[in-house]
Amino acid sequence: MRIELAEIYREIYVAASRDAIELSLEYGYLPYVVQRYIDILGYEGAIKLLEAFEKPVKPVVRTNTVLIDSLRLKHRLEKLGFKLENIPWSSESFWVISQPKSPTIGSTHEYLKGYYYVHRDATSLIPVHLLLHEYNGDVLDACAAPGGKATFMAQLLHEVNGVVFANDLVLYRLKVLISHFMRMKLSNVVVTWCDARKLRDKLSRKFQRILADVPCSGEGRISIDPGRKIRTSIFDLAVMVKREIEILNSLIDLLDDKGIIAYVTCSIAPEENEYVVNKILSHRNNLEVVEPPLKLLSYGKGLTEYRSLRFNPELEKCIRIWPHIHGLFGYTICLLRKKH
Amino acid sequence: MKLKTGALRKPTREKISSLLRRLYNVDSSKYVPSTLRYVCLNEDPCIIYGSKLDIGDLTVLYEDSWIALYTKKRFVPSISIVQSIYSDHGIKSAIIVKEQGVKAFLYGNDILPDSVIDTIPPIGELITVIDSTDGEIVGFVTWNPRRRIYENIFDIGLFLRKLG
Ligand SMILES: C[S@@+](CC[C@H](N)C(=O)[O-])C[C@H]1O[C@@H](n2cnc3c(N)ncnc32)[C@H](O)[C@@H]1O
Repeated sequence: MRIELAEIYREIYVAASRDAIELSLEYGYLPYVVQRYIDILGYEGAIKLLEAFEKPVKPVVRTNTVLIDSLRLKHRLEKLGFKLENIPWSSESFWVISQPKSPTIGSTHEYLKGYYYVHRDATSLIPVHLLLHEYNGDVLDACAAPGGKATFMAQLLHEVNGVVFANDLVLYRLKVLISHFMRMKLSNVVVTWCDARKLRDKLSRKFQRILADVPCSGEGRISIDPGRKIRTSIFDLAVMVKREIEILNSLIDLLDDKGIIAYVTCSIAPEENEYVVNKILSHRNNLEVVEPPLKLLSYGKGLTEYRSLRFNPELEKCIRIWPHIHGLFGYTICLLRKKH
Repeated sequence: MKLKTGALRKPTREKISSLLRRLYNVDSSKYVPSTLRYVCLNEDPCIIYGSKLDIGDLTVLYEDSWIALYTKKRFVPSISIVQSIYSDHGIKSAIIVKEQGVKAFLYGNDILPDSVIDTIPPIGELITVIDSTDGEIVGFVTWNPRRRIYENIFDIGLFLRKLG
């Protein structure tokens, strides 16, 4: 599949309106970013989203159920002064409502003993629940570092001896990933160092489940990374989109005939999500989008049109998590499988 | 970042096995897999892990569970291995340490004899540090008779300080 950067750039180019320019000045964004929010959500909706990005999100403690049960962990952390609240749709996890002055949630003895993982936000639990629903087997996590999802998958597959093949391209991030596996004593894992686009040439097997949590703009995490408001130009975005298309397309070659691949980004950008998956669906006409097997929240639907672009109606089955609706990071998840 | 990785040579594997035999008087083949690999991401520590799967052409950096670390110019067995040895054969070469002593130890500090509640003999060249609050292993020390202190060789705070 050949995909030209110039074509992507042309297709995703956005000129900002007066409204978008005014809002972008008020909230400190590049104008094109805000224009897209207005196009998708309308003027009022865009303001709600921009306001939501100004609010902090709650970190999450996810119990390492291989080492401790969640009630015991909750009790131990509460004794240290943490206030925790159960996440109703993820029984092993808690929102951190308040913390003592010391220790921080990432430096308790319980943390060092491997009893839990700290997520910046609860959204990253969702793709794992969806991808591993009623599944016992191996998983390929093609862009796995620092390991939030890989460690979660390893603990869920621990009892059934499913192995997590955790790959990444960036060495210093792989070091952190390995450290989490060691700290949490998770042994059903293999860590590899490879460009996800080359995995298909190097692996001699296929997978029933693949997680493609691709490197993206992070446009769903502006609440903790305000630099993103101005960091990514449209050209930079086009470069990322090209890499996302290449990664997803190559990983599909590693998918078993009955397998499912989750394409995930911590981004609400249609360019990085529906646009990418639409390109893949039109290039390979043997793929379909799978309905999410669990309703953890009232999900937003995937877009089927955006500005002048029209997408495959299948894309409605993708999931959008919106900061202003769900109070979480912005995320987009599409589950794909081969048609039979 | 400097990366070194490869198969661990037999004589080096034997060093880990003989350490376990000397410390705990056990048949090490039950605890140390026959094929080991190592990875050093920067100089210290190097991680030694068991290698089971053959996955083609890929550069594997870690697999299964860690067996030992090479740190401060010596081998340290993994906490999981020592836990299994203790549950099979009983605790040996260990000190049980007060909460405050554990706290300082997990920042990389040494342990003062005053912080030690109990000593479990025979004390060998490497001593396991057990947290008195929950009985968990939190690292390893050696006794320095000149300084009259238990010197920190490895503590689980390393996962944050060096590897995190
Ligand atoms: C969104 S993050 C993954 C987060 C991770 N799944 C988690 O839950 O903690 C994307 C990752 O992709 C990695 N990456 C960037 N380019 C890559 C490539 N070409 N192949 C594989 N991984 C890549 C980055 O180093 C980064 O760790």
